[in-house]
Amino acid sequence: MGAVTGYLYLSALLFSLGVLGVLVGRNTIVILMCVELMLNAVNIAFEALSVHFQTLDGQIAVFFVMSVAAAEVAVGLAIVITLFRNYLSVETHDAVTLRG
Amino acid sequence: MSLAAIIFSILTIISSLGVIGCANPLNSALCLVLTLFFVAAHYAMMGAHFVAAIQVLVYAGAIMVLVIFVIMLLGLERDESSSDFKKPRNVLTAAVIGLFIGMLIVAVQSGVAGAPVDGLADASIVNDGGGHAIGQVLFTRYVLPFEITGMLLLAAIIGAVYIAHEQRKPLAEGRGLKAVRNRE
Repeated sequence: MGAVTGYLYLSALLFSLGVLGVLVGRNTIVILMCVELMLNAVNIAFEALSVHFQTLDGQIAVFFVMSVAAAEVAVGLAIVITLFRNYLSVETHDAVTLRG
Repeated sequence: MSLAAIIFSILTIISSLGVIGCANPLNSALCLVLTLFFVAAHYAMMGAHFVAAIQVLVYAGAIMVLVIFVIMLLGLERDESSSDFKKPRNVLTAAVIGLFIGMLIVAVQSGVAGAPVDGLADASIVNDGGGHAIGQVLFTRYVLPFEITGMLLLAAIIGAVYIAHEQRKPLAEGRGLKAVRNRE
């Protein structure tokens, strides 16, 4: 098994675990962390392919993904704080105001 | 993959299982910090030392401190109900995710086998750990996305401050609010 193939398998597994966490989790902060897990999985794939093809574009993409992740976490946590202020809970099944 | 890479892959998977499996959000966050360190180890083993350092500094250092700070601020470390895998709906979800993993593995198998290594860029660029070369590429070819990222971060800061700072009346009585009322 080549190095890049192994890293792509690892990336696929990590991404799937992140999706599972987002779908199953009920705590919004845990869901945010699982999104981070998915972004990290994609970063591993970028990095492995960047090293495999001997170009720097993948590593640049990793930087941009990281900065977007930082922005996403900042806004996401602000939303979580607002959610907690309104419902005194951060569980997804407590925020049911829009349910018909 | 070398033996060390395989060991670190297994550790990465185990700690990421901890992220989605822990009942306590604080334990999940600490498992995620561990996962990020293992991912940084993968970067270092691939020869991208600069990206590994950035991973530890930005992700494990800054982002996760923010997450843990919010968890402690809201007092969520005493909550014990983040997810349960017993429900039939969640078992179905896990099965679908298993199918998804299978599809991704098939995609990797069919995609990478014939991928050639082209010698477009010189190997020395990547092999020196990357700091010098990444800086050069980032501020020449990718200077416009770099500046746009700065604007994105500014917008995120302003948005976060606006969303978290504004004082509103409670929208509706969630279960948590009712629980507090009942306690009183």
